[in-house]
Amino acid sequence: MKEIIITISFYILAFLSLLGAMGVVFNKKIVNSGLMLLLCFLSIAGLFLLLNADFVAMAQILVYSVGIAIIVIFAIMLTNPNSTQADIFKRPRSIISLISCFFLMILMFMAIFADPFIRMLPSGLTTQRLIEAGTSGIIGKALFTVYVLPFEIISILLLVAIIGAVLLARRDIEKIEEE
Amino acid sequence: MSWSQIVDFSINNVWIIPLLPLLAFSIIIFDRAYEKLTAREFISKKEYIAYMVVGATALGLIQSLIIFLTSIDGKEEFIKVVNYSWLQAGTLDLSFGWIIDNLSIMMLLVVTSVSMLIQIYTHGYMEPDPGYRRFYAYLALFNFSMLGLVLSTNLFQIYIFWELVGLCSYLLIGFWMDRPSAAHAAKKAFIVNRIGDSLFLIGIVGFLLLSYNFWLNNDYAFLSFMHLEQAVHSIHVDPMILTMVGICLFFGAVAKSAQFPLHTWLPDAMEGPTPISALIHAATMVAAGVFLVARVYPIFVASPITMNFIAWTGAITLFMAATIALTQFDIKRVLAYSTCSQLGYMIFAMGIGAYSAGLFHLFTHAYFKAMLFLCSGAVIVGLHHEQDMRFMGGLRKYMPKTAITYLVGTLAISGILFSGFFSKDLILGRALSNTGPAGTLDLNALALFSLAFLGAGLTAFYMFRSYFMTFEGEYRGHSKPHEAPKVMTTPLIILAFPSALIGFILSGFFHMPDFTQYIYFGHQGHHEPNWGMMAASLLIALAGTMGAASFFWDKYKTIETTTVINKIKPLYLLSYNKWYFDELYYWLVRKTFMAASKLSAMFDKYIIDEIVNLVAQITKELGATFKYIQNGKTQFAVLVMYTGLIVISIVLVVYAMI
Amino acid sequence: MELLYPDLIHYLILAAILFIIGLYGLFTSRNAIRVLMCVELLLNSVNINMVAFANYVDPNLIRGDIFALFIMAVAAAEAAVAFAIVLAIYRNRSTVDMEDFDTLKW
Repeated sequence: MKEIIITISFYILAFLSLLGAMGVVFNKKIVNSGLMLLLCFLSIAGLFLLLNADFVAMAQILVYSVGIAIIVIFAIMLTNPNSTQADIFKRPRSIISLISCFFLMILMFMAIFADPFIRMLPSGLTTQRLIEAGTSGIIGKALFTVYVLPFEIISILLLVAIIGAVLLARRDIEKIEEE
Repeated sequence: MSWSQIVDFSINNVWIIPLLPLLAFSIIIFDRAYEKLTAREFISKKEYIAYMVVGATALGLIQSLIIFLTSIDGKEEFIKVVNYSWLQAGTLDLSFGWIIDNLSIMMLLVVTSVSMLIQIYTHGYMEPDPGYRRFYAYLALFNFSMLGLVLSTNLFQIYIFWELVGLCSYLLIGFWMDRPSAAHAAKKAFIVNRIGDSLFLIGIVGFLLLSYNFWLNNDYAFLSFMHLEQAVHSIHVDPMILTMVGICLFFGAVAKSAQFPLHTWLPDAMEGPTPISALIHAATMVAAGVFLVARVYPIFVASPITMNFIAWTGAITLFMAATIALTQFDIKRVLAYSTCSQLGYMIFAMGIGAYSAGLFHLFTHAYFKAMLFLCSGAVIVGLHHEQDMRFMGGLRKYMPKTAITYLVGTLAISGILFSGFFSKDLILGRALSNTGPAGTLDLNALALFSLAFLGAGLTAFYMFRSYFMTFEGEYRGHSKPHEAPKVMTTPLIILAFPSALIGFILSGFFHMPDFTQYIYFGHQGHHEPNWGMMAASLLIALAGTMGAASFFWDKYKTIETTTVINKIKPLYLLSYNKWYFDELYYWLVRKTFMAASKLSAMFDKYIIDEIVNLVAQITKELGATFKYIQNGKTQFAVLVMYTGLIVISIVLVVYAMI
Repeated sequence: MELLYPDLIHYLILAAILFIIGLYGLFTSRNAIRVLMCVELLLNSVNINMVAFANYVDPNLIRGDIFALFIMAVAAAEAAVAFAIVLAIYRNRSTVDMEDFDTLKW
């Protein structure tokens, strides 16, 4: 029973995430693209839950589905929400892109199905402990012991990014004064 | 310390002699304390430089004297050689060291004594010059190089110092480099010397190749002078090859000693300050050529053709330079040509086999010619940098010390009783005896002898001409002459003694040591005075003197110069224009070198440049063709990047599968 | 049923397809904002891989989860700056069409 539920939910979530991704790329209206991106992010959060990664799933919802999606929506609003994507298939670049992506996919699948790689992996291993206790404890311990330096650096990076974003996005003071 | 300890120390540490001037040089150039001084402070304190350099040389002189006194004690020739392995490449093993034999002891004495006096004199001569410090630095460097040259044990080592003295000569000729004429003269000296030096190097390498097996098989330092004779005997090749090597080696001496085809740099070198003319271009460096000939004498002796070549080079030079000196008006130029001529005598002596006589002449000439140059320097200073003899005259009244010393020098060089007489007489005597015993006549030797004999008369003529024009008669200049300061006249007076007396002392009269017994080649020669020859050379010298007096001494003037000149106009012009050597060389250079350089310029322009341009053109065309790929779009760039990555991955995967 | 049950391979295939879609969008989109969205898709597909590997290969230390968190933080920073740049460009040139951004042209 449990396996059936997991299987069904995996395929639904996979389908939704792919749908969202396709929607992002092929939707004519940019606002719809943004909403499809949100769908994609949420379904990926669901996949994370299926993978016993509750903390990452929550972070995914917080950072991507809320944070970045809102930034995207704002950006669309502030630029030109009505602009539509031109016919992408008529340009030769699309064909080259398609061929190139196709070959990349083949390469990736070859890598995934490569014999030594599959044999190396322990198949179907899930741990009861993760399901019972959740991952937050492990992640918290790791972040403040082994990964404390990257963690602090990331905090500085975020600070820098905030300042940089403010600096880039604000209008010139002179222009404001002129107005 | 007992005397024998001092002697041992001096002999075992002879490297101190050249090292002291090098130390002085280093101190002068690396001492930056003077930069903190103001100009006035520096002028008042700059004497310490002179003290240092003179002191270094004086210590060298003392040490040389100690060694000299030791060396004349024994009956055997005194030889001590020290060699250190210096450069090893394969089987070639060059060494670096020092040699003390009678020849190098004599040269040490000459160099240290003359340069010490000239360094004292320099203080007076260069006092007001802003380059005082630099001048002393160069002098010290020159001293180091010259002493190193003298003490060299092998041909490679001597070549190093040979180039070093050439460099010092270049630096000092161009000492006043802001004068274009000095800069040109320095360049000329350097380039002319390059011609000789490159042939010299070819000669060294050629001889090394010929005698390589000898040096390998024996445990001697490569190319050491001590074993040259054995090395020459070990060579079994066509004599012409050895002759060619010998002539190449000789060309080093030709350039350095300003001999016939390459003599043109020496008169121009008079652009340098006068102490330099005295030290480098009269007494020491130019004599290095003769010294070199003496050092590699075994190679020359092995080939009669080389010897004859050397003799003729010397004879032509001595005669030609003497004729040119007859008509020059610049006092230093007269002396320069006379130096050229006297060096010709030395080379000539070497060529005819009068080994000791040539070096004896070197020895005496160093003193009297240095003194003559210093006198001319005193005159130039006294007349506020007037060098033209037409504006001199009657200076005996204003500068008596200079006049007397100049007269001593003139007598010495002319071969009238003073030291030049004995050395020149030895050369002429040998040249005469070379013509063969009575009844037979060697035309070659006779021609050589007559040139040298005539040259002796010409020497007296032009030297007395310069003396009369400068010191006798009425003063024809404008500025008021004054005697040179004491620091300049004292060296002159000191130099006058060896100039006058050294011939007597070293000629075997009065039971004094005989020069020919001290320095000789092969077996110790016995010097038999040739009274007839002495009388003849004295006579021709006196004839030259009388001639000069009748032309140029106002008191006894009997012949008007201009009328004689008009009668022999072409000869006069030939002499006045220095036999047109400069013009000839310039013409040759223009014709040949310009044509060659034009040819190479064409080659450069139309072939090399075109190839370079073609490369540039190809690049340009490729860029013009492919620049359209660079359309500035970010996505396109990313796409190209990814596609390239994918292509490479596919190739690698396919390659791995195969 | 055994074959359909979600295993590591399934997640890897899903991530690969997502990656390819994102890449294709990155190459072909004309709207700068859509290009940035595609970049986010790429990052997410990588995150799926990370978490999947952590779950199946390294369940004790789940280092993949931690890396996924770091990637999220970097992505957030990247998104903030990138969208600010897009806004700045839009203010200067009144367009977000990638075809018009060709000042790097020869």
